[in-house]
Formats: sequence, structure tokens, C-alpha cells
Amino acid sequence: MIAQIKKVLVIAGTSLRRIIADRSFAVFLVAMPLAIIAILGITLQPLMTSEFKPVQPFKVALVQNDPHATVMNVFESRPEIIDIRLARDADEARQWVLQRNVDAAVLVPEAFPDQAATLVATPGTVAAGVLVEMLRSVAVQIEEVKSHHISVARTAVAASSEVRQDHGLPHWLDQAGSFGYYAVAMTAMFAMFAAHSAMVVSAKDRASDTYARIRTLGVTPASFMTATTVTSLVVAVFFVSLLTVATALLFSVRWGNVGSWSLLTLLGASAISSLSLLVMALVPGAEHVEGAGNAIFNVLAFLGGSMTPLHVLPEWFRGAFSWIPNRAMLTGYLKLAQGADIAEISQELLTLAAATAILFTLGWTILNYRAKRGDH
Amino acid sequence: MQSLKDIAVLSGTQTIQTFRSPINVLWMLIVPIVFSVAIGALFSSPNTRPPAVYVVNEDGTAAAQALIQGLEATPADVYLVSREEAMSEIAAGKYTVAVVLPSGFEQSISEGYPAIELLHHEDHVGPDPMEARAKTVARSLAAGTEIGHGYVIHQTPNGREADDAFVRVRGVFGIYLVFLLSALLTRGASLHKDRENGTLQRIIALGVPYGHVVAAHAASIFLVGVVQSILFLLITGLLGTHWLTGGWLELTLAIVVTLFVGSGIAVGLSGLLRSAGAIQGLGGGLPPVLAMAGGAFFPLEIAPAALQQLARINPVYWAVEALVGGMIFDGVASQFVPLSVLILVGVMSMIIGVQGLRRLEL
Repeated sequence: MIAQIKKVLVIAGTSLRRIIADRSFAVFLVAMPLAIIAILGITLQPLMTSEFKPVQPFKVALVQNDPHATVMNVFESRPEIIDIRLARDADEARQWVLQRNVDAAVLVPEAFPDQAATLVATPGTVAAGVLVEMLRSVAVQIEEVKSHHISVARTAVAASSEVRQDHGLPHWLDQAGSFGYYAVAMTAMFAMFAAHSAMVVSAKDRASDTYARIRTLGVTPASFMTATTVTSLVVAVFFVSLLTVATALLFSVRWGNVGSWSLLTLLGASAISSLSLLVMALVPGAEHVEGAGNAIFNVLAFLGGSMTPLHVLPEWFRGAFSWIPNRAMLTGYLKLAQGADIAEISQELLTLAAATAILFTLGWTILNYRAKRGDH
Repeated sequence: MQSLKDIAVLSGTQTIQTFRSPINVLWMLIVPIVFSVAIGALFSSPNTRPPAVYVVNEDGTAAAQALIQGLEATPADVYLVSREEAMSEIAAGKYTVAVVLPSGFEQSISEGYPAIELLHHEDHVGPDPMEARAKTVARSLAAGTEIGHGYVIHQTPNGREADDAFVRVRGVFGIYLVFLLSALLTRGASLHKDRENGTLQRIIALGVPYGHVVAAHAASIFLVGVVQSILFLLITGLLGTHWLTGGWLELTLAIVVTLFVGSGIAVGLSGLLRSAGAIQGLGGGLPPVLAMAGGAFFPLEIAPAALQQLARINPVYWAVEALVGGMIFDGVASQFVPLSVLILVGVMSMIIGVQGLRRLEL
């Protein structure tokens, strides 16, 4: 027994050195996530703060036919958002948009808001969204004045206490800035690739004569797979620790208290290592283990909020995939960053522990079954 | 003639082999299509989707019905509910307001002093856009004028009505770019793989000139991209992505030139690097970074000026510009600059790649 444990540790140690010393680890599992965190952190910073302000005001061509110039007055009151360019007529304003001299054109009719204003802008841009909101807000203000003869009886409805806390973004998500969010999101995503690198090395060993030679030294198949799983776990923990330190130093990201972080990291690494083991057990050819893992982990990263921030995903989506290991890690780390203690992340810890148990059992059982059938 | 035949046979075989691998099909087609469907479903433009409103119709008259139709025309998704249901949903925080048309509403309209009721969440203060719309419609009904608009008509720069189609196409195009570049760059490693396992040396020993092998390598990269693009566009098109919103010519130009520049970069990398592993690694990691920094997923208009400038040396940025220009700006005229930049990048990368491959030691 002790001899087997020693062998497991020797194999795990050797594999670990091979993976970490490989140049691709530094490039693809350290430099790349840091580069993505930097790009997304900088790009999305204005959108993920409570007070939105563009880097430069949006250039807006305005054709003002409203005699009270209400829209122009509102635009002028927000110079940090709107840079007004007065156009002679609608044709000139449209031409400016087509030639990309301005970001958008707003054509205000004489009878606004009884008659709708026209916004000419690229759909889906931040400028278009901001302008639609501003125009509607102006219309509401004018409407309030013009509709004085309309009687509106108001009845306030009290909030229901049971569901009120589920309304809107949770505190841990609402308070996460772009750097904080993507540091955690990329760590949860790339931890899966890091853990999987150990399984890829193992699959290659089993497909070559390396595994046969190791077996002749008295290593049982169970010891070999245990060593692979241990390597995967250690690589994942090492990777998360590295990213934690690097993002804390480079981007001043907070990761919460060390004790809770350690427990979450250990359980998270166990869950994703078990997932990686299951992927390897399910994929028949050793040459496909890496590709299959990459495909599955990319989908999980998307579902788990690592690519698109959870802020913009629908509530049902946020709730439906909270059981995925990488999502549980993401939620746990974001909560810790907001000062949560271990009790407040108990749900995530439980999810990760359950995922570890289920995925590891499944992976191990399938590998055993395949070994009995005579597969590598 | 024999040269062309050699190149066609080699590139055709390599392309077929690529699509025979289930993992390649999973990675090049199934995963991007799954992503595209998810993106399409999640990000149908929130700016163009009509807002929803609860209406309690306690009057049940023609005037009440006219107000509901007027609200729908603003546009809004009107849900007719009972007072209890509206109050329960507002209490749960699902909606902030509900419009009630009380009994006697028709009479108030005919008297010129419309009366409505508003149920609102206790935390909701100030005028609500939906309340304002209800007032506009009620005022129009009382005055007998035209009813119903949402205060803002959003048009694309080329004057079409702005709807979900463009936002969806742009999102799916971002996914397409990532997986296309990933597939092409990874495919660029095939020559080095062949060299590492001895296949290249055997092909040359059989009398195929090395120049033909390099030409077939470049052609197979392009062919893989063509097959992937056709299948991807076709399937995502059938699943609801309106690729032809801007027209056939504009779409074809944007796709073909993107394919060309992608193939050029793949050949360039295979000429610059000597290891299949390194090229494959870049194939997996580089495209997402280029896509994010090139504005394929997030609007660059809010990014710092330096990042916006940096995007101008990124082919993904120009590919997105080519698509956007063709679809919602001035058609082919708007595509001229981005397509020229892409062709230049493609040609330069191809030259660098071929020069590098000429010096490859067998």
C-alpha cells in the first residue's frame, strides 16, 4: 500500500513538473488569461460601473424642429455624454451618419412627443441605447405637462417580503467591477483547461508505450489514474493560486479571506479535476481527449458566465446553471471578494463537493469498465 | 496541368480528412452553432424589443379596447390581467407598474377628461414611461387624433427600420470569426505535423515537388474555411440568423475576404513557426483575444482611445467593419476600405508564410 502511494506521488510529481515546466503553460494558461482580463477589464469598465460615462462624448447630429428645443436642452445638459452637432436638415444629418462623421442622428419633429422622434444609429451600440432612453425620458417629462387634464389615480403595491430579495442583481454581482469580475471569470474558465492538461498528458502516455513501461515497474492501473487525478488537482490549485496573486498585484483584485478562499479553491479544483477525468473516460481516442475537453469547457465557460458577464444574462439563465462547477467557483469567489464569510458560500461549497463526488464516481467507473473491456 | 492535379488531390484529401474527424466537426461546426443559437436567443436587441405592460381592463368598452390597441401600437407587449394578478406580480417585483382602465373610462374619454388608474410598486417614484404612453393614447382618444407610437423610431444608418436582425447577425458573426480563425490557424499546423511524423518526407520521395505541397497546404486551409463557412452560414441561417439583411453581394464579399485573410494569417503563422504544437496552441488562444480586442463581442465605442486605435491593426476589427458597412451603411461603397485592408493583410501574411515555408528543413 505504502509502496503504491509512493509510486503515485512519484508519477504525480513527474507529471506536474512536465506540465508546469512546459512553455505552453506559461503562454496559454498564464499570459493569455491575464491578457484577456486586461482587455475586458479596460473595455467593459465604463459599462460595469454604476455611473456610466463614455470615454468621449457621443457625437450626435441633431435636427431640432421642436419649438421649445426640449431635446436640445436635455442633450446640452449632459456634455459628458452628448456632443451636439446641429444639422441643417434630416438629409444632412443622415449623410453625416453614413459617412461616420457622427455616431448617431436625432430628428426631432415639431410635434414631439405626439409625433415620434427618429433616431438614426447602428443598432446594438451603446450610443443608440443611451439616446433611446434619453428621448423617452424627455417625452415622459413633456407628456406630464401636456396631460394635466388626465386624471391618474395611483395605488401603491407593497413588496412581497418572500420574493423581494430575488429581485434585481444580487449584491455580490452588482458590486463586482470589470477587473474583479473577469479576474474571477477567467480563473474559473482557465482552471478547467489547466486541470485537463494533466488528463491530456495521461491519455498520451496511455496511448504510447510509456504507460506499458510504467506498468512493468509494478504500478497498478488504479495507481496510475490516481496519480493523474492528483496531478490534475494540484495543477488546478497551482493555477488558481497563480492567477489570484497575479491579478491581485496587477489589477488590485480582491479575493476575500485566505481561509475561505483556500477551501473554495480546493473544492473547486476537485470538482473540475473530476469533470476532466469524466471527459477523458468518455472520449474513446487519446488523440481526441484534448479537443473534446476544449469544446466542452468552452461551452461550460459560456454557461457559467465566464465569457458574457452574468449582469447582462437573463435571470432564468443565471439561476438555471448555478450548479455547474465553474459557475459555483465564480459565484463563490465573487461573494468572497465582497467580504462574504464561509457560511455565505456554503451553497457553492456544497455544490462543488457534490459535483466532485458524482463526477469522480462516474469517471472512475467508466474507466474501470473500459479497462475490463480491454481498452487502454 | 500535372501540378494543378497534384495540388487539387493533396488539398482535397487534406480537407476531407479534416472533416472526417468527429472532434473537428464538433469543434468547427457543432460548438459554434450551439454558441450562435445561445447568443441569438439571449441577445436579441433589448433596444428594439417592445416593452411589456400589464393592463387591467375593468371598463370593457370600445374605448378601453382602443386604448389597449393604441398602447400595442406604441409598440408594447400588452398583457391583459386581473387586478389581483397585476398586484401580485408588482409585489413580487416582476413589473413596476400596471395600467388600470376603470369602469367609466369610456365616459371620461367622451367628456374630454380621461381617467385611468396606475398600480405601482411602493418603491417606484416619479413618472413611468408606460404611464406616459397610456396618457398620450388617452389624450389622442379624447381629441380624436391618431394614436400610438413609442416616442422614438429607430432606423439604421441606411434608413431601414432597426430590428433584432442586425444585432443578431453581428453577434453570430463574432462567434463565426473566432471559430473560423481557430480552425484555419489549427489547420496551418498540418504541414508541420506531416513533417514531424514523416508523411511530408514520404510525399516528396514519391516525386511531388515541395512547392506543390506548400500550395496544396495553403489551398486546403482555404477549402476547410469554405466548407466550414458554407455549413455554418446555412445552418445558422436556417435557425433564424438573417444573414442576407444587407444583400447577397455584401455578405459574400465580407465572408470571402475574411476567409482569405484568415487563410493568409494561417499560412503566415505556419511559415513563421516551426512547431505544430505552438501553432495549434495559438489557434486555440489567439482568435478569442483578437475577437475581444477587435470589437466582435463588445462595443469598442466605450473602450479607451488607445484600445480603439489598437483595434485598427486587428483583422477582426476590419472584418466586422466590412460586415457592418455592407449591411447597414452604404453597401459595397462602405466595404471598400475594410476589404482593402483585409486583402492587404492577407497577401502580406501569405508572402511571409510562403517565404518561411521555403526555408523549412525537411
